[in-house]
Amino acid sequence: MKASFDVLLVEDDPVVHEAAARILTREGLSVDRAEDVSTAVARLRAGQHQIVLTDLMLPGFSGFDLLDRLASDRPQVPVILITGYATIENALHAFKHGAFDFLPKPFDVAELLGVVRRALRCAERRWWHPTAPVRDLAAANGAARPERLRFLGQHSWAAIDGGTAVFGVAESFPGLLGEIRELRLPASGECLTQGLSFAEISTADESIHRVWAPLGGTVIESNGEIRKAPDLVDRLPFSSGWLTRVALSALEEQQDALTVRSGALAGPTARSGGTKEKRWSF
Amino acid sequence: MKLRIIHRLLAAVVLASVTVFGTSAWLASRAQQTTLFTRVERDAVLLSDTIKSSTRQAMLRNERDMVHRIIDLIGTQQELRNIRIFNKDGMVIYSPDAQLIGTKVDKHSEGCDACHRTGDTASGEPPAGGRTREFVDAAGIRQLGVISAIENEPACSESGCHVHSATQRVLGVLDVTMSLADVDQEVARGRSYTLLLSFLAVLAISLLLWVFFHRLVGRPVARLLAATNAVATGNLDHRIPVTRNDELGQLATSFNAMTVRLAEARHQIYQSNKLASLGRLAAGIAHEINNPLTGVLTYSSFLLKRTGSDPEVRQDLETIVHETKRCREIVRGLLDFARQVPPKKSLIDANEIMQRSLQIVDNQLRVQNIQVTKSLRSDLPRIHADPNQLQQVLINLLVNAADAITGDKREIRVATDLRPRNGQDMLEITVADTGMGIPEKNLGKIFEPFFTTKEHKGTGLGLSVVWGIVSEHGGVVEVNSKVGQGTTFTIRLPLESPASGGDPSAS
Repeated sequence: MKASFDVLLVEDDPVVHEAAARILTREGLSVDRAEDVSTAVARLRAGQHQIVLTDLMLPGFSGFDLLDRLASDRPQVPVILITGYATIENALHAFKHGAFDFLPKPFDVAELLGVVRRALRCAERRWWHPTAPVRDLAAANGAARPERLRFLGQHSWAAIDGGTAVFGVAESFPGLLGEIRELRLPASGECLTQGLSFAEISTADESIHRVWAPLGGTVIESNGEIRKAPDLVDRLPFSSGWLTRVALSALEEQQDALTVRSGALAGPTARSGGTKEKRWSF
Repeated sequence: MKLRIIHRLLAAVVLASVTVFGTSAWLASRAQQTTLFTRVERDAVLLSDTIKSSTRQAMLRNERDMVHRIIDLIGTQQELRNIRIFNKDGMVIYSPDAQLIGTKVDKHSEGCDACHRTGDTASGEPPAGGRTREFVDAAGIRQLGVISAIENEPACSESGCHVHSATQRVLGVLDVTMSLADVDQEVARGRSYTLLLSFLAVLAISLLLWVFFHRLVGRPVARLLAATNAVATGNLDHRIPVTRNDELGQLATSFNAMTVRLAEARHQIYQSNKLASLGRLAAGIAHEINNPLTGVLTYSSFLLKRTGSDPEVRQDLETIVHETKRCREIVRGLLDFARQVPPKKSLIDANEIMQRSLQIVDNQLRVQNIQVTKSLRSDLPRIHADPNQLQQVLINLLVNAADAITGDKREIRVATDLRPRNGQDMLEITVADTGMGIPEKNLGKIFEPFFTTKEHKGTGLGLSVVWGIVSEHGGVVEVNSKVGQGTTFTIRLPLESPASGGDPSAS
């Protein structure tokens, strides 16, 4: 029988590798380790892995290659890409290749644990599919006009209306966060850059979940209701749980990173049938 | 050494005046010579006629002694060189020089050949050149000779002596020779005098012109030259004092205007280059620093998580984590800044953008109890600009203005207008606050990345982003501030899109 691991960690920098491995191990997670893509593929064959945490810049094959391979061979495994801020653009495109999320360096324990826990919960519940969301919450329920929505993978969404847009979190948050302690949202006038953190969700398990802006722009307002009731993010992420309204900048070139879910209703949601009632029950 | 322009001008003037004065001096000298010669010639002819008249009676009476005496007497005149009377055979029969009397002169010799060109007999009338002739004697002195025929007349043949028959036409020849030495001397003297005068005139003109050139051309040109040299070596603060209204004065004015614009352009380029190289540097640093910073942040936060209840250790670790996160924010700020994209321009209405920006910050302004006064010009032409970037500029300025307001006067004034600048209309957008103002020592730094007075509240990138965007649009940002009274930011944008504006549709 194959050995079973919670996490496959692929990182070539020994310090980052060791630090991440120790943090995860101390959380009681079993960590399998690889320094490059070839080793990672060998480890994947040898064992069972819930999630993969891989650096983007690796010697030889890159994290993208691993991501593509996993998306076709092990679509049920969420992949988190570790990336430098200098390669944010690549990370954005990683969502199109089916990444669960990315974790920009330098990160701290809370940020690492936040994304890893969400991914693990998603994998445990078998909610993950890299290209077509198993739980298409927007199309099924909640969103006022789902056809207006543009998605950054399954991470966040933007409802575009002329020069402005409303941002919110997508499938990789609701039901996966646990108890929300605090929600930090940007103030009006703040400038958002696509792919950079604009909202921060702190949870009771001492982890931090960052939400990357699906588009760049200037904040008009943030959802005041959600400050009082942060669990709206968890319960109604596509309606009352919206986060921020933004005046967009340079929409055209940023739209490349986003996806439209046309015909989403006929997608995996229908296939996975039972998720509908499950969706609102966490 | 290079020939200076003033020397060239002077050389040209000297050449011209030498030519003019030389020609006129030569002509004057020629005229004087002709006049003097004519006078001497007239004198000689007169003398010749006088001799003929005064000896006439004595000749008629054949009183040869009397003739001799008269000729001797006349011969004592200084200017007279010689008087000779020849008979028809060419023998000198009268002369004050007794030695010459009785000598015979060849008819082809000097003075005779004028009439005796064709043979022994004189051809009649004197030649066209007149009776006078010029020649140089053995001593090298110029002489003027006047020959006049002593013609037969009834009284000669009818007088008692009957020396001459009535058939003879010419009885003899009177030759008077006068020295031209005095004339030549006078001409030479006159010529020297004219030459001297001309020389003095040329000298005086040259001196005067030199002074004028020096004052009118040399000095201003030297000032211009010094100014261009100063500019060439990079001193763009050099200005030429403009004291005149002529072409050189206008040149100085244009030159000053040019250096002012050059200084502005240099400042812009300097700022842009600084920002661009900073961006590259930032990207490089961020790339290199990511892994070590990750190590520090993960281990320190990990340690903090595991550490017990010892408050001292916790506090120290919290400081490390906090400071490492600050490093991270700095790197992120740098990268944000390096990520600035070229503007995507379209035809926009600046007033509309201003209204939209005000709407975005409206909430914040209301919370801070700040009043906004708008003075937007209604007939603004549309300009080529990136609406989003321009909006970002205005929001940054508005947020800054709001943050600067601390006192009782809580007002932000915004305005749009059209104003000429350097000969072309520019769109002018102003955002003025009644805030604390910026101390003069900070005014030069506010556009530099990471310069902030908001401590941990700001990244210090807002105004450098403003600068970057406005520069990309071919515009300028100006700031005027008085501590305690407020700050005014003025943005000037060209109505026409500059060629190098990064407009993808223009390339």
